[in-house]
Amino acid sequence: MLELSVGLFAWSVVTNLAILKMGLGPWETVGMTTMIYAGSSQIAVLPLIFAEYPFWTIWITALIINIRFLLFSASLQPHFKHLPIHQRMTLGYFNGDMSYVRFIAKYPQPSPLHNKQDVLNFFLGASLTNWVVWQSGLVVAVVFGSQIPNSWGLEFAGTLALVTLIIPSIKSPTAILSALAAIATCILTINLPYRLAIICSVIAGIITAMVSDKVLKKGSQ
Amino acid sequence: MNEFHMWLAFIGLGIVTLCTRSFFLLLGARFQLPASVQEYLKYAPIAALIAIVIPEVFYIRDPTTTLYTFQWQWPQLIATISAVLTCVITKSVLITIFGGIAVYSLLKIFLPVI
Repeated sequence: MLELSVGLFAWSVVTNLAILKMGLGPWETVGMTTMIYAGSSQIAVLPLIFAEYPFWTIWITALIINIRFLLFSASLQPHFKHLPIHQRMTLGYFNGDMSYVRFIAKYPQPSPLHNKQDVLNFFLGASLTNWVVWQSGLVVAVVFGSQIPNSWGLEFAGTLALVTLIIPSIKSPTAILSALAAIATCILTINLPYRLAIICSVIAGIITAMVSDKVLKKGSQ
Repeated sequence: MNEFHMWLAFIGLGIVTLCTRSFFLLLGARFQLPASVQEYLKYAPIAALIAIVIPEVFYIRDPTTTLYTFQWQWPQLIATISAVLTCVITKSVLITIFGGIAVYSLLKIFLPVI
């Protein structure tokens, strides 16, 4: 997670700079990023806010962009169902893309062999790092603002950090097929509204993994 | 939109985001996910990340229509390919990110604008 932080930090600086450049004041940017903590969906809804769209349009847009987290929370639930509700809600707030991928790579499914405290500590460690790094990027963006040159290639650091998350996870034939299905679906659905391409790709990736697992198992018998 | 309305929009967005991110967590022990579904959910985040990366590498977004159009963007494309190779070979996150940024920046500076 610490290594990933380099990419995450640059990504946060760039995202928050983009929010400032869209015309949001420094305190409003700080308030928004702390309250919502959702990176790209903040950039997606800001034009709607500035154009004075009705609240429900703004909120539903954010809901649909974030819908992948619904599935993420479903796979976190068995690990943390024993915790009191306020703690589960806190975990939800800190549930970010990068820390989630790290967590699920280490603990794909609950097992009696896992110490519950270790599992919780790992999740907290990864997601709090994610949060602190993101907020540091926010502070740097607000304080230094336009002094950060465009030529540093910072805007691409986030994408590169995601590449380092994707590649190590693709290590079985099923995972390769699932990833190919996600790529194809993303290209086919890229211009759907509300960035629905993300959830379409997720559904295609899951279904392809199920089908190819069945076919591959049959083939090996 | 005045200041008050904007903060109201932010508060609503905060609640929406919190609810989606913790939805099944909030159901707690009342909800039981079948183990077979659980097994395949692990493919969800990678597919999501792929769908986040693809537009950054292969597409440009028109800010007014918000539509994506395919475009060869050599700095992005070459930097991503080199990052994939670096990641497979070195397995190092840091080398991949810094190497990728270096390739991307150099190409942006030295490739003539097409």
